[in-house]
Amino acid sequence: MSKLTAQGYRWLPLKEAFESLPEIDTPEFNELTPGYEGVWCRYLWTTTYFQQFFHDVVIVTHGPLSCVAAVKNFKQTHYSLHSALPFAHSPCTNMDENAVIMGGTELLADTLRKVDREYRPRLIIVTDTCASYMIHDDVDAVIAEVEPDVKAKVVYTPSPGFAGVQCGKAVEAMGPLVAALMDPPSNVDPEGVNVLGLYYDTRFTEAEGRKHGGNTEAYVHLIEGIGLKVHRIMNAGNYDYLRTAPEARVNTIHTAMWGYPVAQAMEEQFGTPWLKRQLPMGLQGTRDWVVDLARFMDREEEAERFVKAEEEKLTGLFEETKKWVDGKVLLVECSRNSQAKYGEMLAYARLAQEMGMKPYIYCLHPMEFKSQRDDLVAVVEVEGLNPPVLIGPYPYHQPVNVEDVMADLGVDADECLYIYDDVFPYAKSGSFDPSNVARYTTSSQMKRVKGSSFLGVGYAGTATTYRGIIESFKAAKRKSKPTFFGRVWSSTPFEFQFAKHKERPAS
Amino acid sequence: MMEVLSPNKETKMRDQFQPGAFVGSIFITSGILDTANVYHGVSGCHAMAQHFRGDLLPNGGYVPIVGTGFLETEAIMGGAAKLVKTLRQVAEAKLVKEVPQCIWISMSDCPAVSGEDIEGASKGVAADTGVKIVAIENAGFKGGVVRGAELALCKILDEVVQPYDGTRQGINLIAPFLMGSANWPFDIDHIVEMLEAAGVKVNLVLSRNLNFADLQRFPAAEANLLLGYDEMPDFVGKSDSIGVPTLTDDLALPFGIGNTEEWLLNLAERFGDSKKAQRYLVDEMNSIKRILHRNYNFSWMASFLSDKYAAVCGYAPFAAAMTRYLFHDLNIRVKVVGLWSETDAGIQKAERVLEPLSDSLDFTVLENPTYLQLGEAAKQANVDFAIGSIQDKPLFKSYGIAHLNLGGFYYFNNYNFVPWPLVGVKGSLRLFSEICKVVDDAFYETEAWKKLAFVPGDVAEG
Repeated sequence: MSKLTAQGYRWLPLKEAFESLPEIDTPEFNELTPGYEGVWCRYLWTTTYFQQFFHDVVIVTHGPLSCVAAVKNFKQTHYSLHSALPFAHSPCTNMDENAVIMGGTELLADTLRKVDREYRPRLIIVTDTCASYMIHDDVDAVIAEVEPDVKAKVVYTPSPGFAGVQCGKAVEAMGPLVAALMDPPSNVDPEGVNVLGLYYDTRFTEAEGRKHGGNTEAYVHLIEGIGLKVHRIMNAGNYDYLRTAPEARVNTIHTAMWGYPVAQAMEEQFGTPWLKRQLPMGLQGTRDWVVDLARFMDREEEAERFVKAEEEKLTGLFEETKKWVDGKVLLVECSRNSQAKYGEMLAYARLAQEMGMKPYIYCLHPMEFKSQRDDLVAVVEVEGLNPPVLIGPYPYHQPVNVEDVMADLGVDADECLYIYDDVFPYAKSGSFDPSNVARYTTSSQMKRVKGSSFLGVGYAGTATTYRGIIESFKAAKRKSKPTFFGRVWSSTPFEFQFAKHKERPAS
Repeated sequence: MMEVLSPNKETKMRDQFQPGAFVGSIFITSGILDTANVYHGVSGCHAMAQHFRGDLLPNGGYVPIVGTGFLETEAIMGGAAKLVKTLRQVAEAKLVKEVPQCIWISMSDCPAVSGEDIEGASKGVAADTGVKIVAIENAGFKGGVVRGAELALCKILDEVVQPYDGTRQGINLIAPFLMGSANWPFDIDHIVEMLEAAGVKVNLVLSRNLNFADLQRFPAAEANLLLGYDEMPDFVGKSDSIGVPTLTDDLALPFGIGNTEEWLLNLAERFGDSKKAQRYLVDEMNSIKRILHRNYNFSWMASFLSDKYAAVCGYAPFAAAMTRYLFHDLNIRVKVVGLWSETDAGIQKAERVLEPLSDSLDFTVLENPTYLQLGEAAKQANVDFAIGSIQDKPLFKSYGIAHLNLGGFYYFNNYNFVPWPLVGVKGSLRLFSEICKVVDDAFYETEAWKKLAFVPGDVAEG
């Protein structure tokens, strides 16, 4: 029996794994995965999501300054520093103990008036926190009270932290809120295409001065490549950009998790049709995304010409990559932020499978997995992918060790490509390091490549991924001189220690 | 002249960076290395606490923060069962490597508003397991890091420290993270070195690299030196009652040579040996002269920095000391100072520390400004660069103002892995190096280089 089996882990096909899990927020789930509590909370997801309507939109937090600090501490900072979002002004009602006891509606009214006067935004979005929500402060009544005094449109997006620590749950609730900010279309552009589901990214491009491209260029290339027009890439821009989104002919999807809820709400409210395929990555994945759109917009001939021409450019690289990876195992390590994007990790799995690799998904926490039905729909139902996923207790959110996963699968260092999605890649010089196991950075926080989408979407992104995979295998051929990171994490940082370590009998 | 503006005096609204009380508590408890934290609450708050706990790591240690798995169900039904279960597993070393000498409980707003009795929950586990448990009611709405630190300090005095009637010597350094320096872990280590070199006994740093048993040394000090400027009346009162008064001097923190001389000689005169302190300062100065004296690079940059315009924003002790350093040591004109503080006393103390500059420098002090007010003031003053923290870098850069993040906390604020202080004579080397970098950033003609760059003839012809 392997170590993982003994600890209660088992591989199941993705769909069966999903169906085997109980509903979230139930005692059964608590027993299955003790101590799970998520990483962020609904307030953090909501504020960072809406913060992306910048230029003329201000988010007002009704709660303690502490909640704003939690966002500023990492999310707003990181999203600005490396993802081209601007500084987010974050006025807050600064609730204290007195307000928790006596109510904070006066503070909110005062804050809204002051923000309107001093910041002069077009739109104010009020988010609330655990404290203000739990004491039942009537935010809608405050908005009605101040409305005659303020010039900005003021809307309320309930976001108490506790009501959605599982990211899927929090994001699902945001779809109708985003759609509610939009206006019914006066005209629909017959060639206009929206892309929904970007998160902490902006449509600001390299041509406009961004140092490392986001995903915008990739979608512009795909959509204009078949003679259509990009109408809106969401979330980004300003209030007018957002409110006129329903003037597109169709919504397409970047990521299912962030895109589906908005697409569904827009379909309900404005009748905007939408296409379910997400993340055009890899030759086949990109072809499928483009062809779906072309079929809907009656552009199949243009699409065939466009796709063929783009694929021809990449054929050589595709074949070369295939030689490196054929028959190997892809170790897909979802870690803490896979709560926000396991669909992205599975898109890499799809790309790898197309090249003859076998993907295995692990460290996808069952609670987050279960909370994200949209990703399952996109991966299993739309794309027909159903790779094995490691289900088990992950107690107190602890990851499993990749070396244990390899032992369980019976594969060695030369048979694997390791990808991960956050800031905690596994490294240990002497056993598992980029110097001896191929490792490719797929973390959207960490991956930045000039001239390519950092998520690897579109043809430029696909080419970047292929090249990156080849480089990773080449780097792992050296079998010596481990990385600094791997040495810091290892009990055998020096090469002279490796041999001694291996000589020692196993304890 | 020092102009003081208080644009938010009439409103409670704030837009500034102020983590909640539980973060302040965890800064205190996480310096006590043989203990463990249990966090009872929603994960957004927990994530922030875990991030800041990282401040204690460089040359320090790792104190776990174990979450209780608080979900929406617990928000509705109560989370006592999960708290008790987690406490028990921590006490039995099932979720941590060793049995802790003490478990500290912190909590977020959600269980606090619903009135969860963390004190009561802890009693049964403590009785069963024999592990000391200290529950701190430190939800975010209770205040900021200062208040959270105070709550933890009060608990330590109430529930941990034993009565003492022995001799008292030296000082306790309290809450070093409240200095507001992004380099505070290395700064506090050097502050201890400086004081000891000046004959001042450092009885306890609360808290940095302590064991739980070390807390019993608390009452053996002559006085406490708070490294922050805010009032902590509850802590000060409790400490007074066990015979350890808290210093109330208006001392600028020892950033730069002028501030260091004043700070160290003041403390040495009362708690150590002034002569020894003077000798130490001279020795330190000689050692940095060996690097800078007759060094052309130094002369170039010292001249280049002179007369430049700056803005400083941050927690009151840091911002006040940094303003004095820039003006006194580098002849830089600080035009805008943004002071953040949790209490009026903190602001007032910083202003008293800045007041002596009033005759020789014209500048504006903003009391607890919003980021918008701060950015607009810096823009109006046409400053060349700003010193703040990583959280405000995108703000100042969006105004086209070069920015250096030296303030705030260590976590995520800088990628400094060289254990060198910003404080003290020795720290002047690093401070000066950092200021050189930001002034370079302010004046490098990068855009012109791009526009005027050489183009090979065949490319220019198309």
